[in-house]
Amino acid sequence: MDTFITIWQSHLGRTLSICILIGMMFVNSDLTAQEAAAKIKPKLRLSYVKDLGGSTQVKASVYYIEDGERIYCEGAPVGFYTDEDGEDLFEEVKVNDAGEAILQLDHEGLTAFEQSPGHYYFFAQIEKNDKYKSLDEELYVTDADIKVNFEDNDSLKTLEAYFLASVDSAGAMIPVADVPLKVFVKRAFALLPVGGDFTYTDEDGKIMIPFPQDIPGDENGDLTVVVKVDEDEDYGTVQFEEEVNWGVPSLSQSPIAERSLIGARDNAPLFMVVSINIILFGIWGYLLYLLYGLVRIKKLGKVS
Amino acid sequence: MSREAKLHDLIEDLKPRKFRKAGKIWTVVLCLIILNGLFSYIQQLTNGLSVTAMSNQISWGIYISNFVFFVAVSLVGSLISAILKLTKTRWSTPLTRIAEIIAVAAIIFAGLIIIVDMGRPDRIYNVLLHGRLQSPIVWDVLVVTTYLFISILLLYIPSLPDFALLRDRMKNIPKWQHKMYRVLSLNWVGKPAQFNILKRSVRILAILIIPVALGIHTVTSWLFASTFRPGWNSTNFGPYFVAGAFMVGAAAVIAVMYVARRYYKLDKYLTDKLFNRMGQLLVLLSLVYLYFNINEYLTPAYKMAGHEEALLKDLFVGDFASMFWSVQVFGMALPIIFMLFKWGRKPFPLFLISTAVVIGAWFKRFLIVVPTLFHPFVPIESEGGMVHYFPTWDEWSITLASLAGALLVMTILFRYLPFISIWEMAEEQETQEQIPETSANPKLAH
Repeated sequence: MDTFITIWQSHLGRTLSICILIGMMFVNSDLTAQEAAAKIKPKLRLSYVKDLGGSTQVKASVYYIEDGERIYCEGAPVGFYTDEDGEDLFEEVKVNDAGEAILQLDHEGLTAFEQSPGHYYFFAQIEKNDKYKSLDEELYVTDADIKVNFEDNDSLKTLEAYFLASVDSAGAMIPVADVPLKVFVKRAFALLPVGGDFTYTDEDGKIMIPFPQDIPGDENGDLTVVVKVDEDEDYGTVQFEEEVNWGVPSLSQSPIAERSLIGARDNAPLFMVVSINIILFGIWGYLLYLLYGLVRIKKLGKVS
Repeated sequence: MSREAKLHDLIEDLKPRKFRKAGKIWTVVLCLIILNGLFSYIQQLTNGLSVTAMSNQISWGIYISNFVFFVAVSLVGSLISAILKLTKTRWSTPLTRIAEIIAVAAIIFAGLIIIVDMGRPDRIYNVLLHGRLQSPIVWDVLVVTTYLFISILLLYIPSLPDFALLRDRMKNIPKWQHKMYRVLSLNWVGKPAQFNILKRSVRILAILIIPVALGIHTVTSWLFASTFRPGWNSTNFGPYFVAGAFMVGAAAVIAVMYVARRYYKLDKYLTDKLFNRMGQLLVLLSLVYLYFNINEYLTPAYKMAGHEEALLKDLFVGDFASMFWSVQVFGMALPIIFMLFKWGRKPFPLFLISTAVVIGAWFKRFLIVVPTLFHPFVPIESEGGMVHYFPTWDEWSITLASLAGALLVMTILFRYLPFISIWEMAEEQETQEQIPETSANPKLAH
């Protein structure tokens, strides 16, 4: 009996210990799983946008995929650093509701990221916090420029665009060949491509396209022409924009401006204005006459 | 019996009387319902239309169907006061006051319930300042306002001689009530010149109210018919709404007639014969409405084309089937069948039938307004999957308050105006007995 008890106790003790250990594993793994579930590992994508004549931006797109849907990490803090070790913080920007942390840079700001003349290095980092795991991303960009000439010879309009970049170590801008330079005309909600889909710069860094003669412009015939390189791995996005009087003047014939059922308040169809006013004034005129009749009734009673 | 004695009897029978216990309880109950509705409306004003079950897709609910119902009921004013009067249908004389009071109360609350449906009632002035003449909503505002004014005049002007009689003959009434009659009577003394103005005004108003009444309900129908939505995009809507309005208006008059006859012991004036005639009129109007109903549903059902198919399936066999068939059976078919028999046109059965018609009419307007919104012409992405609409407590209490409000207006008007026009009844009696005119004769008035 004692032996049995001893054996049972020892077994019990071992069994209990094992159960406790296993239990702790599950508890721990539960906690760990919960902890792991609580922290999200987002994706971080950097892009560089240079608007010639405007500002330069570095955008950090931060999101994660859940159930096949892209979820933006709104509010996540993204640190932009000038060094690859992530020690020299330039600015911390929070992700907006479009999922982007946008760093606006003027010339002086851009200089902080210059590794060598005309070459920039950007390092963005999300530090580990309660919600997200740590993540970083780097981006090398070569400075670029676009020059555009508009030539109008005997009503034949030609657009010449040059793509220049700081290819050499001194940072001097030189033409670059085989760069996909695209030409657009700005419309109300999108960019209208002009000159074909595949316009690559030649050995002089140039593209030349005949400009269509029939694109509607505003009432003066002005158009906004956009020439750009889109999301290039070396140069990022570089965009040139200029207004030019190369469109067909268009007089807006808005149906709202005409007399119609869908017209503005002051442009109701004439027949409607006339008939409704005749009816209203006719009826209300008589009703006011009736009110006058009541006044006469009262006066007649007073006289009596 | 002398002229004076007959007039005295008429006044004693028809003069406004104080409420007894039932009347007081009725008034208190109505006030409580209205107060509850006001509280809900304050919630709506504070929290916005999110207190209702309306949404981007179901943007019109029971407020709008209630509005259409009120406009429909208000048409009775033109039917009884105008059409029957112009056609010299003398048996309708006892009903004109009842009809006009119902019309005024209904059209007041038609206007008010529209304002309730607005999330921002403070912006109603924008309708006047920025309204487009091309908009059916602006037409509706114009025609409802015009009809309200005409209905008030058509109630007030023929009441002048009665106000004078009450001013001169009612004793033992509070001073303020006596003053009210004095002011409202506009120094009426029954001079021939005054009568000329009155009769000419009433005659022209009776003529004028007919196109305005037809206009108000046709324009209200155009709020729906001028859209492309299935169930609404119908050229039948104008006459369909007008026919329905005449029917529900007549039913409302019958219901009030019965209550007046029971409560005020007006059997001598609201006779079984009158009920019989009103029942016959209601049958006729119901048959006309049935015809338009068949047109409205049979034509698209025959084709079952496009968006109409889904809507009709919803109505005939789907989510709204029980309500739809209940309305058709209990609100139209059975009333018509019962009223074809003489026993169905006796006062009490006719009262029950009319009540069923009125209730059925309310739900009919709901079926016109809401189911269509579940089948939009332009697809809409509804939030969170399935679309539902069941009015919230706030919506119900506000709607019930509007109905109670209309009944309260009628109650107050019936409290201080004779149910039946005394001077017109006196004229009617004289005409029948070929006795010279005595009503509000200055020699008899004092």
